[in-house]
Amino acid sequence: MKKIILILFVFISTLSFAQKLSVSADKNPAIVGEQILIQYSIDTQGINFKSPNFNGLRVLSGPNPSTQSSYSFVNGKSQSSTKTTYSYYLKATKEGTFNISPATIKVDGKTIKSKSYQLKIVKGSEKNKAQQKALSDNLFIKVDVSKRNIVLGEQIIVTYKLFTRLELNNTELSELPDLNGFWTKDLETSSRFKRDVIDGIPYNVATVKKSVLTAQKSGKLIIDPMELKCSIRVKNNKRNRGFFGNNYQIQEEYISSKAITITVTELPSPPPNFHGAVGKFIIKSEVDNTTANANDAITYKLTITGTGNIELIEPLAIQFPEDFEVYDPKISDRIFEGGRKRSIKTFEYLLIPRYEGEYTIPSSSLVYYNNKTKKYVTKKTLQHNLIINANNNSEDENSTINQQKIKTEKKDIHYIFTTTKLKEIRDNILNINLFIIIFFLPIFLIILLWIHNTIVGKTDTNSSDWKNKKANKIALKRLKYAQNCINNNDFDSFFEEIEKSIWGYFADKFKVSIADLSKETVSTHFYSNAIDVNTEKQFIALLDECEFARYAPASNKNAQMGDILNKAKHIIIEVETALR
Amino acid sequence: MKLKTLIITLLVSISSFASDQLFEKANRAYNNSDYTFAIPLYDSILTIGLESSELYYNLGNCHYKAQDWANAIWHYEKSLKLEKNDKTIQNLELANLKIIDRIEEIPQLFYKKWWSSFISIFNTFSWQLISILIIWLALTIKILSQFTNYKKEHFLSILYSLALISMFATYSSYQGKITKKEAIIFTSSIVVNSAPTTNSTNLFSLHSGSKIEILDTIGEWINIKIANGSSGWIKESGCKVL
Repeated sequence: MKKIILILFVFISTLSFAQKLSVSADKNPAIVGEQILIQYSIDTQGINFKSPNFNGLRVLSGPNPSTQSSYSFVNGKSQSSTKTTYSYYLKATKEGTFNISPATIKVDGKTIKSKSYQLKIVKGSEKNKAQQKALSDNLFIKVDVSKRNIVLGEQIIVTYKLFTRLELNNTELSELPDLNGFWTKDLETSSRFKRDVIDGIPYNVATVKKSVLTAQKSGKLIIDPMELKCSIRVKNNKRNRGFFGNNYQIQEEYISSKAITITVTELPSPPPNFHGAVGKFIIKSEVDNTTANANDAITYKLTITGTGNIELIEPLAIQFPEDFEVYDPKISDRIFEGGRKRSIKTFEYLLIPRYEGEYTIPSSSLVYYNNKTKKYVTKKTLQHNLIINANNNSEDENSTINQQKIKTEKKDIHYIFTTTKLKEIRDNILNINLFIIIFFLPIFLIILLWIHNTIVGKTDTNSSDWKNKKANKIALKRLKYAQNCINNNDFDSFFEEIEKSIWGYFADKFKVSIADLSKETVSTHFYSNAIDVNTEKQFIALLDECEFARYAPASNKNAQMGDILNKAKHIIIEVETALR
Repeated sequence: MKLKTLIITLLVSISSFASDQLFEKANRAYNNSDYTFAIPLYDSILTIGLESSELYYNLGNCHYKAQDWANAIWHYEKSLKLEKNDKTIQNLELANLKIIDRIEEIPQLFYKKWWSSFISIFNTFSWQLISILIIWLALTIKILSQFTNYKKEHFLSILYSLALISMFATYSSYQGKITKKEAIIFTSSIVVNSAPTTNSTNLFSLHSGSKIEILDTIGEWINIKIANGSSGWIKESGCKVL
């Protein structure tokens, strides 16, 4: 029974041993700034190794996996073993106890977890500190900033210089400065070392990085430190020379610059057309042709020269004439030291005038803030007058078709009245009853007058004139055909017409049928209507005369006709007036 | 009694002088785009008791610029009631484009259009005066011709017909301006009911700035008609009578 338990125990222990992920450090505790090697090893091969979390410790390299395999053949028995190691090189930047969380690995589908590991970092001994100081005295980065108090948009140059008295094998940028709030442009630097003497100590100096920074926001902006990884060749103190007689050892060191705070102040109340240009500029405009033909291209060139944030200057708002076709400007610049030295920026506009006429390109202005005098300055370009002639090419036919319609796209209300005649507020009308009285009173009076006239009118002497007129009208109407005969010199039918007209008139007037017409009826009707006897005689005489003239015409026919016509007229008028 | 009339004439002259100054001051405020300041200045002239077509027009412009379309339309319409003017009509058209409701007007017959444009040549008062003048002229000529030999039969008949036309014009003008009541909707949205009760059928809704004609009034309800011919009942508080 005991045997079995023992066997079982051995079995289990070997099993568990085989699957252990062990962790070890080469030194614990370690000194600040020292390099520490941490190794995770397992006795089989595993996959999917997951790195632990090194809280606050810097990983210089790793995980670097390595596998050891051994194969032994002893007394006819073969034995093979494999060991896998993952190693890390760490560096502690500050003292304290660091807890490294467990790492995991998969072996045969099982996840194996290591223990968590506590690493103690202590302050270096005096000797170590001195060594560190010696290092920082002999190898450091210096940051040069051209100006620390700037205004928004102003430019500064930041130069990072590496000072060394050690033999450097290699340098590598490990952390670039974070330049928040700046527009950055790197300048070209030569990484060659030059000799420089500071306080009587000679250094090898190299410019690592040189940038032009343009402040984009106000406030306190921090230029973060830059970190360099330097490989230093150190002479081996110990006498353990390498196999190949190597006297030197490579030591890796991380050095960083100091953080620098730049104070950026807001610009004093900017004028409305200020667009952020800071520095000192001159502006110039040119036109290649002041006279051109329609549809020919003209180049308008705007040149800005000066120092400052010239790169950030946007094209100016230029009011080109409406009839010009304007293309986007071609922008070219020659900028030295990010605008620190006198730089040039040009905007080239291609203009195509479409119609003839005289045009003006108005002057445009650049407003900038002079950071030396601390004032806003406005520089203006010249105004250009252009004369565009009509295009006499064959294309001219098109240009007439190209007429422009006057467009009024926007509508607005009319302007107010500037003068007025104010009146009292009231319903400015006559009272409706009053109006009716005033209006209908004359109508009533007129109607009264009319009634009076119709009743009294017959005996009114005034109406005799009017009656005469009417009688005359009737006579003329009756004798119309006779009159026509005179006009036509128709002698024969004239007398017939007269007779017909007279009889006809009589028949109509006294309502006598045509069969009853005779001289007797004339006298009876005239008598009963109280018509003068003379009129009756004349009437009969006229009829006789007509009858006589028809068969025995007079020598002067026309005179006779006129005479008879007048007589007939006279008789009709006489009868008409007598009948009233 | 004499003193009283003197005081009244004095007051009127002072107020007209002051109101002219107010008008100019308001115009200056309008020029400076200070519309909210110009409106009370113009309004104060109205509270004095004076008005003019131009005053209402300027007020309409101020409200237009202040984007108060209903008020702008109300004042333009008011201005047109006093005097027809092309500027006012065009501005009113623009203001009518800004409001929500677009009411399609029933096209008038051509002779009605001619007639209404003929009537709008003079205001009601002028028409009254004209017709009275013509008929009295006719009467005098008639009497003159009665007692002298001065005959003007044709002229008289022309005068009679003129008097008749002007009488009808006066009547139409009176109908249009005094009897006909119009209003502008001022609440942002109002439901038109089929009867003067809230629980009657909702026919359609009107929005601020629309012009309505008031046909009848029952209590707080008014019977309205809009330009497309539809009619219904709304509460009186939702609109402002012209």
